[in-house]
Amino acid sequence: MMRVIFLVLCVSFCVRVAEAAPLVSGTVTTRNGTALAEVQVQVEIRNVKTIPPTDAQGRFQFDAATLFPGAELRDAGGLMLKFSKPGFQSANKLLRLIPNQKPAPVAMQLDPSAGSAALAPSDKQSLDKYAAAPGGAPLFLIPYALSGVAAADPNKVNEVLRANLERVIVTHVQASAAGGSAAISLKLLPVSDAGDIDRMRAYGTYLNALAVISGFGEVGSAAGKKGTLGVSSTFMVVPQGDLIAAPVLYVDDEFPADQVSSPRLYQHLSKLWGRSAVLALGVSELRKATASKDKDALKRIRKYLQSERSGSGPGDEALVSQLNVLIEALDKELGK
Amino acid sequence: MSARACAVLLLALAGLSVSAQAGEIIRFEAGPQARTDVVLANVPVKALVTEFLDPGDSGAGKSVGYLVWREILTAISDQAGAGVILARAPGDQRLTDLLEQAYHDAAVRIAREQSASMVVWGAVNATGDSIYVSTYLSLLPEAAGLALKLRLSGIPPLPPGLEAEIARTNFNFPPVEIRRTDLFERKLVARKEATVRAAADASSKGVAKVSAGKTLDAINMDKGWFEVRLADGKTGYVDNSVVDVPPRTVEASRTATALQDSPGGKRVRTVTLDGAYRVLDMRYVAKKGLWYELEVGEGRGWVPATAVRARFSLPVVHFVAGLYRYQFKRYEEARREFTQYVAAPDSRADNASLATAYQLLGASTLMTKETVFQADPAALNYFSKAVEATPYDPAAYSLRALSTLAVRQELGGALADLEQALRLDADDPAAARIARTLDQSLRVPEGNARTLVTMLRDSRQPQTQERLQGLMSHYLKIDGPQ
Repeated sequence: MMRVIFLVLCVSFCVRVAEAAPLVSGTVTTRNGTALAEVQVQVEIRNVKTIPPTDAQGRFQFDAATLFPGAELRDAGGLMLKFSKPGFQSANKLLRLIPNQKPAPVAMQLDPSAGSAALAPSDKQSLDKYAAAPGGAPLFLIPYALSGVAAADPNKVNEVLRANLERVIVTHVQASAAGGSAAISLKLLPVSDAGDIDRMRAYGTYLNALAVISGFGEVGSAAGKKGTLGVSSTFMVVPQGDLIAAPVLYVDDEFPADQVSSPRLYQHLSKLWGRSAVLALGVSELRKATASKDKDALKRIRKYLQSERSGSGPGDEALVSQLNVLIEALDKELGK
Repeated sequence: MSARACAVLLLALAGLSVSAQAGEIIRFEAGPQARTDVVLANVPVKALVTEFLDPGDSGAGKSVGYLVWREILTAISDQAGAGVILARAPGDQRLTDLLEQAYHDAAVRIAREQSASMVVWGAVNATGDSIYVSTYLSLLPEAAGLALKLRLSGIPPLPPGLEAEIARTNFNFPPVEIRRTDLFERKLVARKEATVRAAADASSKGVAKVSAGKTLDAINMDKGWFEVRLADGKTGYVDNSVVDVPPRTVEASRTATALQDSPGGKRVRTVTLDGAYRVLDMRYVAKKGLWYELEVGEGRGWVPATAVRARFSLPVVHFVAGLYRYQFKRYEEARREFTQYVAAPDSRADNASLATAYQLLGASTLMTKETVFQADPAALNYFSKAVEATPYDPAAYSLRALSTLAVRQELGGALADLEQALRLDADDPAAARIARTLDQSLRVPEGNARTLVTMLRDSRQPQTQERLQGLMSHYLKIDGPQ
């Protein structure tokens, strides 16, 4: 049975990495803080490198310059860290590399793979009006948990966030030639489970969602920088099953705390989230078209994935490799 | 045989009438059933600019929409048959509130209703003095029969089929961070007697009158009103519709030109312009075209717009202006606009729009020469830049293959690009079409095909012919004579 491993990966930032070799370290735990040993950690720019698994305390460490000698690291704006362990959901985290700045330690949390949070009847009742018909392709935003500067009016901040993210995603999807396939939208859900991966997936599944986005924002955050707002965003592709095994994508951003609606956030996320949405749309529609043996649909999906690839540039190799996986799967279905 | 060929950029465009460029404002009707009367009905080539979304309620969305609209009008001010429509939310309503998730669809629907072939829309976020502007462009080829193709033809004729499309129709331009002063602080020229009012409101009392042709110093913008500083130091507001909006600066690269005392007037001195110059005034003079008065060193003087390159506030203005020029076959002006686009500091942040700009720059460069024998080698370089920007786009390779045929008159280099295009997408229609045309011409070099075979200096080389046969066999599954 065909199984497309869907790895959202896009390292296309223009920032050049500092000459100094970035030493990256971190820990992997469960949500309740239990260290996870023997987690496989892979690091990807254009090529994928596997580093030693986490130790008994869940720690990992690598020297990026040793791992990626030459131009590959120098030209990259970030590294994609890929975490996997049997019994847990795989997760990807984009680590941005800032010139002359040592990356902060990575704190990664994995969730059990059998996660299936049960939604209470009252939850379902409040969500019913958001549910999409099968075949619809909405994305949902669970309000970011914002503290500090955003606390004054988190509702407004989240609505600004939703409007901007929706614009970048919808625009990107339309520009990719996938626009005619489904009415992409990003709706704000009246829930507050920003960090609960199981519940994110449960909401997304119940709502027939294409993806669920959420995150945290905190002033001063991990790096202890005053006046800095750290935002950690999560993008979860919902359709799962025989064709896809999609890791959750995490991206951290930092910007001045008085710019909680900073457009820089959207610039960072626009291509990443937009492309993630197109890829998610591709795997979702591929699954349905394959099941119904709808060749016209397969051709249409192929066309917009081709279009997405055509607009990719240097530095997008990892994204292109995932598009290639999907295009090859389509070609196989089309008998090419 | 002395083959004479020229590259022809086809623009299947409805007959162009000669009417002055024009601007109109309509209300942005958001509902699915809403329709707006068609404006500029007799203008064949139109763009629609929508008020920019302003989700943060910074107040800049309306102003940036007006400014982009006015700057495009300035950029095409000497272009007959061209028009620009601004769609704005009625009254003080915000487009963001009206449209919710339907902004792009609504903008495209209105553009279609207005028979516009281009629609520009965008969004702003403002923090302090900085405005962060995202701009988007959709082309609607069906609206005005706009079809951008690069086709090689010649005298005597070349065989048909040597053509490739510039087919990308949606562009997400890189976001631009710009200070309010860099957007709005500029010279304005009163088109007619203008009333300067105390507030940005038509019912506000007038505080001064400015006669037609006088310049004003804008310092900011509030919705569609420029805030201006008067000679006595007081400030007021003037509606954008009563002023012309010159670019803030123009640029030149080691260009020797005469400064004149008035548009088309007496030469004051000859200078070499190199760098950026502030625009102090602007005039359009019948039969003499558009002129700018520039601040040059300690002095000032007038130069024709053709001697310099205007620098507009946002790269999208250059891109759209280039498309207008292109459609009207004013390739030198198109080349200037796309040069400005690719030189903009932020343009490299989006591969797809950068690649298309280079392709249009390359096509415009080819078209400025009469025949391929005079083809500027820079054209091939521009198509190569497009390949560098979008190395996974089969169309980029097909277009460069055509350029190689035209500029180098060489088959081998073109075949390498056609192979790459077909490797990326075996169904790529342009690469397949060009390869079939080349193959057929080499097999039966008679008539038009003979012109082509004679033009391509390596067409008789066995290894080149074998390479073409290999391409036909491997990618197009064609072996032997068809």
